[in-house]
Amino acid sequence: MGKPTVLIVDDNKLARALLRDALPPGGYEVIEACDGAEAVDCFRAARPDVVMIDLMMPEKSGMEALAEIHAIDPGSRVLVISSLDSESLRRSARESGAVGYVVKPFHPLEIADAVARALEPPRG
Amino acid sequence: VGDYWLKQDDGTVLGPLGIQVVRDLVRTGQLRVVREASTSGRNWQPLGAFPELAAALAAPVQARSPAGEAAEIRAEAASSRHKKPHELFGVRAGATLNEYRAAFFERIKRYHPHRLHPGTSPDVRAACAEMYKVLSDAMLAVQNSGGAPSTPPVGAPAARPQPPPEFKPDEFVGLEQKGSDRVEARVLVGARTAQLFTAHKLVNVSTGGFFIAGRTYPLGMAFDVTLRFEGSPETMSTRGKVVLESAGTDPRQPRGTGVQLNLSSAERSFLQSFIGSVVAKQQNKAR
Repeated sequence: MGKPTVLIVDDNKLARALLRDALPPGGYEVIEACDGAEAVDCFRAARPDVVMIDLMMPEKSGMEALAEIHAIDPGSRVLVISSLDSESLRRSARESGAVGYVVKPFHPLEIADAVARALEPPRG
Repeated sequence: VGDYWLKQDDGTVLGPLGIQVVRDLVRTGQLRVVREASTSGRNWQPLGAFPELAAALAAPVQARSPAGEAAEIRAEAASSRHKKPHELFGVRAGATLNEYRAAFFERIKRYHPHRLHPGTSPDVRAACAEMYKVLSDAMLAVQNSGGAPSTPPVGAPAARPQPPPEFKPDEFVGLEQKGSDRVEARVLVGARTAQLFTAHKLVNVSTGGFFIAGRTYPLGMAFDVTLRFEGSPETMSTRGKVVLESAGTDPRQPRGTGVQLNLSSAERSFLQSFIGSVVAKQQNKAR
């Protein structure tokens, strides 16, 4: 079985680099997208095991892309990685299909742990 | 009308969001300046076209009662003191030290003194300090118990870390902490400081940041940055934020602080070009 694939979606190059670097080296195949529209295209083409997506991006927002990805594959595992945080926003993200939420700026361990959890088989 | 898309002054789009989400983000001062809105994500209109949304966006920051918020945090601190560490951090019993650490870093964000909004009331600050101590003590207990094994990063190289580049801060990099939530940084950009912008593999001039080796500041700490340029009249004053805090325990990362700068594209371009010319001169000199 190949390595799990992680799609990193953020319009900020540094954020993408920090997310990539937070993953255990050699543990994942990593692909990147710069906005919501590209994220949806990448998801359709590559069907990554986990998606990490920012909420604020040009053109198409992360929340909109998240909902589209969830519509394409209701079993998709998407983690929201955002500088915004409120209980109501987390709830909205969950309702749109997110399986996790990490607030920026993040410690690398938070990312590694969130991705590992997202890859765990569903319980029950 | 339920959900809105918001276009902010930096061109980023957020949405669809319910009105309550918008209110919560405004109350906590998290939204940038919103220029236009839409109910479809496509047809953008001025905010005046959406009175309910315009009213929500005009509401003051921190409308919530500080006394109520402080009481809520204190109650959480009180109940947390009696919880087992794995319950407190929401991890499975027998979790690894790294799982505990990840959960700890996630939990402390809300309470860390450096992460609180500058307008946070003293009462809320004190309550956050209580909760922060509860979480820190619990994490310390987990570490001291030695019960949960630490899992080293998969595939982490065994090689010793590269020694971080050394700088003499008083000569050309001035760092001064202003209160509990800001650092003022003054940098004379030139041959002696180019490493700040080039040495780190992630936080560097190409990604719009710099890396201060040997000094650590907490994630999210705000930086007021002034850049002066050797041999040039140009000066830049901008804001920044700590996006990488490295204590030196990860062999892949030197100890220090990575700061992302909030630069316009013209400023970023000037900085890249200036650093590029400095590095080119250094390379020519070395030949």
